[in-house]
Amino acid sequence: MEPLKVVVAGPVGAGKSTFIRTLSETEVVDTDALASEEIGKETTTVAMDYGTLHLGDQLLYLFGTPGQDRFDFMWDVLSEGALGLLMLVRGDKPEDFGSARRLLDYITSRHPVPYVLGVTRQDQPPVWGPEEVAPFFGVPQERVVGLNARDPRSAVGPLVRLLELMVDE
Amino acid sequence: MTKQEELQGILRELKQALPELRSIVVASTDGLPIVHDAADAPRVAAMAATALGLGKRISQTTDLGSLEETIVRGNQGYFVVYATGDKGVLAVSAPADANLGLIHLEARSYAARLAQVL
Amino acid sequence: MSLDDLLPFLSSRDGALELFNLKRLPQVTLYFQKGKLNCVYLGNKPVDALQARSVIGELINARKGSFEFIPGARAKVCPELLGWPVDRMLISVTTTYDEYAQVSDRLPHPETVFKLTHIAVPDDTRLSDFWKRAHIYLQNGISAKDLASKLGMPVDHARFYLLKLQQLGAVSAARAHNAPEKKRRTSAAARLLGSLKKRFFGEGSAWSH
Repeated sequence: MEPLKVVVAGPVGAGKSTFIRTLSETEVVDTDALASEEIGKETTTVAMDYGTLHLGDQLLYLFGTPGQDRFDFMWDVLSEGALGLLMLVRGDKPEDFGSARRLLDYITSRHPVPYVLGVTRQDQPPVWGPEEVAPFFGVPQERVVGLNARDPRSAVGPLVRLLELMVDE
Repeated sequence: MTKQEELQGILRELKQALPELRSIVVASTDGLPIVHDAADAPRVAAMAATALGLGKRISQTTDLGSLEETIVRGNQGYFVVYATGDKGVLAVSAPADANLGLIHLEARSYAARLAQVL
Repeated sequence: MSLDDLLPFLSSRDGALELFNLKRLPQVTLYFQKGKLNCVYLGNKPVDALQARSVIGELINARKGSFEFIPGARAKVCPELLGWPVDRMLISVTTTYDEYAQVSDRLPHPETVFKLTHIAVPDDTRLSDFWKRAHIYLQNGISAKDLASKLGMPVDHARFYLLKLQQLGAVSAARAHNAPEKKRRTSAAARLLGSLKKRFFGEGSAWSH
């Protein structure tokens, strides 16, 4: 059966690489480089991260994108033919919501891909929850899920919601 | 001389050594231009970092040793990205009829010099 | 010297102001009569109100250039008489540019596709000029990059206007659609969902959130 792909996008530091490392059953292939700018961490993704999940006889690829605008060509490359999109935003950094929204607009206006918005850091209050983030983004509440990207049972939440919404469409 | 000036100096020398090059960009490994002689340096810098980052990964995974350069060849020219130590990349583009061997020879030695400064 | 310095002089003179040696524009000619800017030529062709606004904006930001004033000169042809009072013209363009500077890091991606949400001509004249030219393209969906090339303006101007229209709710990012894809997705999703729940939550357990 052909492998299926879910793209994980979002601003720098949203937790994309962490999310994929948490869910992937194989060692995550990453393409990190030393960050020359101040982004709150040492390294940043310059091409993609990918991890895999075997579900029944189906292989699911999780592809993480770089966060900075200058890597926008990768958003297109990775979103092409994707089954769905998971947009992650850090719940404790509302100043990044604007750029996440622009990214969501960009990808969904160019690729016919269903999406779910995942709000990370729910385990570290004070933090914006999904009910507050949804109206801010102007997206239906059902498309926003909170998560802790480091806990597998929590991280899988947005993925489950994405699939449920696709089945209901 | 500041680091920036030193790098500009090396860039100028490279341009003289290889006049056939269409563009030259020296960038950080996370895709920001440092010095350049190119029309759309920010875009080229990001793509060069991506290409090198991917190249490094492929090189590691398929046991090629440490990555030295990665080449994109189109029917109208070449785009080559050289690692300049751990912190940077040197990206050059050349027309299709350029002597790639000569470019490698020169560019690699300049990449080593750039690595010293970066 | 910048264009703003010349405008008071121009508000009392009839004639043509020719601007050349500009970095980002070919020769521009501004035709003034009785304190009003009536016509703007880019090269040897007159431009419409929308482009005229862009051109004036670029001129105000231009740092270098040469100019010559030809008293009494009139435009050969002027398809769209602008009639912009010189003193107010400056204010309206500079406020746009101040606003632009404030939002420049919030502009939509040049290739995000936008579509009309409802037909409503905005009140603001800056936006309504843009609207009149852009709305036929926005009906089917178009990006700032493509709009800029169709309307003859810098991409960043198109991005700015789209941001303003988006803020007013007059346009929104399009949702790309693909019917055959959708079918494939639904069946794939159904297969995956079962396996996913089993894997992470065990047989027969429910996941609640």
